[in-house]
Amino acid sequence: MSDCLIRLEHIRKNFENKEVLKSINLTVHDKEFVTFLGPSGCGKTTTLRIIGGFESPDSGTVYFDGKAINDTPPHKRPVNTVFQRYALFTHLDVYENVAFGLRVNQKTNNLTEKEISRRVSEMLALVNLEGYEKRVPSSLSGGEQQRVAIARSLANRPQVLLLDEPLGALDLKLRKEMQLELKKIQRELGITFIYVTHDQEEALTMSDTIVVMNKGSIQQEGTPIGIYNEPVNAFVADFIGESNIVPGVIHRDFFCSFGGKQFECTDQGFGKDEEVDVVIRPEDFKIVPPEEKLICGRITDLVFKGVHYEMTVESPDGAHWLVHSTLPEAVGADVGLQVAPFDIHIMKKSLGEEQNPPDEAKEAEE
Amino acid sequence: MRKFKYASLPFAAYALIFILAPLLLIVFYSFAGPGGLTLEHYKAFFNFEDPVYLQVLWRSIKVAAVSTLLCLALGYPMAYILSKMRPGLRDTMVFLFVLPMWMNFLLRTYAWMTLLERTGLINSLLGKLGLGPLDLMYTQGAVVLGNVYNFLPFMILPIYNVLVKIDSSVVEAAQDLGANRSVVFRKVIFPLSLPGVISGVSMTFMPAVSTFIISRLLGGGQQALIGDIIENQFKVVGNWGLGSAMSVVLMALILAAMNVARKYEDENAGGNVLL
Repeated sequence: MSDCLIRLEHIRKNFENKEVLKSINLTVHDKEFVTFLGPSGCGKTTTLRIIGGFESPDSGTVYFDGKAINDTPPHKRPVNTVFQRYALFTHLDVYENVAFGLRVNQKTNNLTEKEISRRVSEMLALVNLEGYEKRVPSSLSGGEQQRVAIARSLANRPQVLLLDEPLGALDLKLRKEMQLELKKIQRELGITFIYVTHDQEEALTMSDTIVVMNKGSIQQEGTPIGIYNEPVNAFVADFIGESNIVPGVIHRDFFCSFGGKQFECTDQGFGKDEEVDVVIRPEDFKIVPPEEKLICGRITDLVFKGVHYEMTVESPDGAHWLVHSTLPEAVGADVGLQVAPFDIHIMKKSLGEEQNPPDEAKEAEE
Repeated sequence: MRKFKYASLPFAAYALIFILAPLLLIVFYSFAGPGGLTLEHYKAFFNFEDPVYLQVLWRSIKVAAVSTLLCLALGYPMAYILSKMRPGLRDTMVFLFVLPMWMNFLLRTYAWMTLLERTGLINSLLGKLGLGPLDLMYTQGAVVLGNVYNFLPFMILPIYNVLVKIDSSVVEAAQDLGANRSVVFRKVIFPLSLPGVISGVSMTFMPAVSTFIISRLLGGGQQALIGDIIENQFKVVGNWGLGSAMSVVLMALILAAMNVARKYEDENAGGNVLL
């Protein structure tokens, strides 16, 4: 994961006066699994399409292996794409779908019919579709169609595979299976995957690097663990996993207040009495008997989520706190919420930018 | 769906009385002789010693085929261009293409007569240039022109409807896999548009092969087509039996052509056709 394969420099893109990408800078390394994560309309698909050559940036440069490829048309780029709705050729059978890219380049690459047949079989084996050669796309299930689309895009042996929400149309169980399978395929082939999704769990499961985007700019770039544990702002915190985000004040280094109480924390370097956002993950609260110095409240809601219970605690000032715990508390119980200093994340208020309510954005379809 | 079953009754009755019954009557007349059933009328039609009717049938097929091919050659590019336009403009353009169909079919054909006559608009323009006059009317060319003009929308619309529904991501997928514009067209767009081409071809060929108005007005009877002589048998000669037999042959021909087209379409959907 050392050498830089794709580099985006100051990429800007407008669609009908709407700013879709605001100066994107990004480096993708060889053999890396990178995920662009963000709500609908954040620019993640546009960024992918610019790499694929289906959109051209208004300004900025796309480098591939050190060479600018802005003017290279899609059919000459060493990348292949798995499209959102599969985009299979319905007039061709599975074999010819997978062979399409090989046939198009048959003359230039000097491929014999036998070699094509060998490559198609190899690809179908890779996606577990042996014996499907003569089937037509319309007779396949969604999951099978997606596998054909993946096999088709890998047949040309691209250096980079672009995947645009490829699992969006599949049901949850199939999606989870395919996530692991895609990760396996990526590791086996040793090529770079650039993956677009609005599903944070998908991103956490598969990626080496996650690029969180919102409103046309990159919010944070890092490993799944890094992004989950150290979100740089309230948007990332809220988009990756669930969070309690409340206004607070950091009085001096390592000392802040929010929810009407004062706390020790581990953050420093803010101005004196600076107003900030305080982020606390629901699983970082510990439910204890009420105590004067803690945030206290009453349980108003209890939902069983499988691994844990999700509870809502309403404090007397009307604030709601989301708490995850493996032990339930009865609705109506008065409790205190304990939180360790290192679980209190202090973030600069994003200046003047109103945040999307991410839950809403996550549900909205593109 | 069950609820709507009875709603189809009026049409079923209509189809029975005005479509199926006349059809059966025609088949009956084609076999009816003075002393019971006979093959006389078919024998008269398929008279290889004096193949006058067969020659007319052959001419009809030729004229219709040429008209259909011209419609395809003009209509496909037009449909393709329409499908690429932005939606607002596209709807306006499609509307413009359909607009002439609001005018009466006869009027449109008469209009061509005044254009093509020896003293018509085209010849007087040519005269001003010191050319002509040309004999434009009463030629096979005039009949083909009339066919193309009248039936072109029936070629454009079905092709356009199929083209406009082709998912742009399918085209992008082909480009992504290395296909340049001409390969994308040959291996993806055209094969996917074949159902539209087939229905366009049948929707222009069928009226073109059986027309009698266009050939009468623009061909002036010099270029009688099968439609003309069928009409003649009923209205002038009074030989309903021969007229019916000709109709049945023509119908069988069209049905056969449609079947071949449909079969080809099915196979194509099966995905084994390599273009």
